[in-house]
Amino acid sequence: MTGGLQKLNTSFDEINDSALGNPLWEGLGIQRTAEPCVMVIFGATGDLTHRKLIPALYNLALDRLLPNGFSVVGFARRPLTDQQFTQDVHDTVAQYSRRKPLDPTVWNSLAKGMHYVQGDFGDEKSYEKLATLLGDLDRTQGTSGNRVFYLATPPTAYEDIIHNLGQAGLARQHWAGGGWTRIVIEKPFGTDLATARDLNTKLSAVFNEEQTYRIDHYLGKETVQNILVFRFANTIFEPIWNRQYVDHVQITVAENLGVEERAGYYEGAGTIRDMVQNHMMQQLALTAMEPPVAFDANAIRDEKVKVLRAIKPLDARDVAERVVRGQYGPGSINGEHVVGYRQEQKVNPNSTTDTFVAMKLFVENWRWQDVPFYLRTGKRLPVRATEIAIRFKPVPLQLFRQMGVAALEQNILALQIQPDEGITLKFESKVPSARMRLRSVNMDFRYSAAFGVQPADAYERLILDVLIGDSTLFTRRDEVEAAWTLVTSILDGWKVLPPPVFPNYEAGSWGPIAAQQMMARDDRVWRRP
Amino acid sequence: MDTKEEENRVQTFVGGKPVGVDARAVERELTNLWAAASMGGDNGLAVIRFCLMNLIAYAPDESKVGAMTETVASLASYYPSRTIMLLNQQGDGQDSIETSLAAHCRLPVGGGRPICGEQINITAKGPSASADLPGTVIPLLVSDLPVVLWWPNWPQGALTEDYKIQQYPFGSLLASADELIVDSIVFPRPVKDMARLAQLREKDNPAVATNDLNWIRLTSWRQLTAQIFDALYLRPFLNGLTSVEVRYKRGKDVANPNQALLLIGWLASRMNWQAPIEMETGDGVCSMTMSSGDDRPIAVDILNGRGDGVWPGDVIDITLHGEFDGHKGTFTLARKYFGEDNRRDWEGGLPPIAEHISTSIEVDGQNKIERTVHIGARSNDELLVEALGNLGHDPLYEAALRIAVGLGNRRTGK
Repeated sequence: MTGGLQKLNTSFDEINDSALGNPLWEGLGIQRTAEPCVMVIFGATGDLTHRKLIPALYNLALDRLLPNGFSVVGFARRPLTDQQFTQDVHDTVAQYSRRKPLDPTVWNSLAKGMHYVQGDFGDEKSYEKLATLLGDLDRTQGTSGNRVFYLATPPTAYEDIIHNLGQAGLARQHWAGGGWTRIVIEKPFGTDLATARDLNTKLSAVFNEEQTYRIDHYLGKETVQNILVFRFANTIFEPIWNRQYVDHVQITVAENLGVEERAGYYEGAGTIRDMVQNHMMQQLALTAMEPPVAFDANAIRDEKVKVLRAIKPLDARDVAERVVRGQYGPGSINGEHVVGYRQEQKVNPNSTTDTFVAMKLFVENWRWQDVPFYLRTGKRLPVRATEIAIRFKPVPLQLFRQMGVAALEQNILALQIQPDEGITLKFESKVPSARMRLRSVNMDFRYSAAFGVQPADAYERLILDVLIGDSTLFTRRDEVEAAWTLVTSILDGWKVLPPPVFPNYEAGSWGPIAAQQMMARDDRVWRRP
Repeated sequence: MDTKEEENRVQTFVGGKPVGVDARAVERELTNLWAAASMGGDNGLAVIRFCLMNLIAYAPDESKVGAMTETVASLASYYPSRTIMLLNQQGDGQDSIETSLAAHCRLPVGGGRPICGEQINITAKGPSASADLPGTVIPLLVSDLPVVLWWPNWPQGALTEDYKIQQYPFGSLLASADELIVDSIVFPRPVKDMARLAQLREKDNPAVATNDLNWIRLTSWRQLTAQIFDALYLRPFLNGLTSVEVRYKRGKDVANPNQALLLIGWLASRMNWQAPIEMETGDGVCSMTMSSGDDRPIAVDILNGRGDGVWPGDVIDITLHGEFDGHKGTFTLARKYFGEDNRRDWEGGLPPIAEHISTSIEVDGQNKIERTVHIGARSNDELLVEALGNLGHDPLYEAALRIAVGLGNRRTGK
């Protein structure tokens, strides 16, 4: 194809974005969109693509947040034509899109830009086919070398894809005419510190860190992002956000589901790899970090990584005292009997995989010295709830004792991440009567109440950020390795400690009794989210 | 207490008796209303009272109160507020002011207890009762929350020819407001009234932010125009634009070019184009030549015509031509009407609206890149929600308004 766009691309080699900013966006007050680009999805026939990625792209199109000429290239082993691929994803978008029914006009416009390449991840020739197609799209759709490679495959395929993209010359950071290339990698990013480092090394041999977007969909949630706004856009919280006023912090990620269809992956990972290394470490870092010098990707990630580095790795003795692992047995959730983990399909009947982890950590810096951070996550717990709770220290003098008030409750600030996103502040209040009686009351802020809009799916936000080139909500190499340093120290501790007798908690309970005992030793209790 | 189901999941609780006009009586009755609502409505769930702002809504006549109340009820889903709905009935009888109360509740996304905002209806009856409206309204404003004055119809007669506010209650209420929201698509003398709005904003009440639902109707057009030039290879055409043509729908009796003027105003302010050096005008149309920052002429045409599924005054299409390095680019954005095939839940027999815009990019007549996006029907409720979500001065709108008014004045020979 030798159309006008090809000639133009050649004559614009010298133009760069910063020199010629688009003045029409200035002050527009609406979400910025990306330059025309192509998104190549490896693993295009898989569950993630169908349930999350394509529905997210459709919703972005519906909100007019995709650029002109935007194209999708599905890459997978199954033999499909462009038309079959488009039809397949149409059916799942119709099912999984958060907004229904599908707008046929918008869908057709998006579908016109969908293509499919059949290929093996390890086959160099498949990448030549891909390169040819991408070149054609650059010329016909004006995508100018702007490419996102999204790895929606099992981690075992990462190495082949990264290597072959490099071999095919598709990994260049900048292209003639100003094009860019980015790569998105799904979790799990390694299985311990050594494998994470190994993957990072292989990745960095082909892609620069600025091109790399390690996705943790938790960071795409509005309420997780609101932690930063809450802390750094208000005056009243930051002065008390430290060891002077905070007694301890509890971070809970509770799921009432079992392993569902993920048993194959989960058996090898367990909760500590599935939840703690990524989601929980990110929440801890956002809660404990210092104010960044700017609201940009590296300034924020610099502060997060300092927090992770300030948590000393645990030795075996620490692990024995401060980490509790569990596995659920049979029980009931919402009045329904559910089987134990070992009875789940595709799970080893003698499995020792953890489905629950609780731990006490310390962020050893000036702000947080001696303040415990209690983390708890598990499957088949009574409810689905994610929250960060800050419990403040008791008042220094109990003034009301002489008036018959025995004890005062401590103030708690709870940031609810899901499902009912909001912020609750618990404080003491006088009960109306002639006597002095106090009672704790909750002051509630609910997202759904204040802003009655349905928040975008985390994938929509994160894909848009990749297209725009904003890596704030993605994990940097040093963050991943710092988180794995801690988690690997726990895994190493477990190797030398006698294993607990599994199962050790009933489905539908709040986890093993040892987790309650760990808190009781500190004269504290877990919150009931 | 009566309850009635509003559209979707909004439920309205209505106070049972008229209330006295003094603020304490109103607050007392509101407390009673909330106490009753907190016992549970039809679904048996206690409610949460929520207030993000004060919204003073001025109904031009009784026939508009119902529709405006529906809009306020729908706002409960986005910005639960204290709404004070004003109606000035005038008439010949004795002056009096009546007040009644309502609460609009809706179930939050994902379930939970209903979230409610409240509405205080104040009706002024009699020839001079409207003079007492500001004194009735101001004590009812919730402190420390923004005050928005929503005046859906332009206050005809509220402004004199020299732009001074003379008529109660507009001027007094405006003085208590942080934001004025109007809709220049319904201005009876479109260009003149928009000029007065600009004067009001710049001279009489500069502290009060102004917003125009007609400007908000342009959000998608502005977004899509900006997106065209996100492509690096197309960016130089923006600085090399040679002509712009904007076509809007002409009404049966009146041609209202305000939306088109605001769009040109926005483009000119962003691109630093200077005032027209030549101008020809006709009935709701005009052709002019503006000059770019580097003194290139830019032909600007505002035209009107027919457009299926488009309301009078709405933009139908935009065409931009540009040149760079010997190449010619043509960029078009046009509303698309898919008629019955694309209809969804149209209410009350309203005609289907053109809910989509198609964009097309063509360089040197080759490789046309096209796409179609959804912009929705954009009801007044949605426009108001968007306006309330962006309170405060909007420098972009203010700059666009200034230029639009300048063009309009020249157009009318002022």
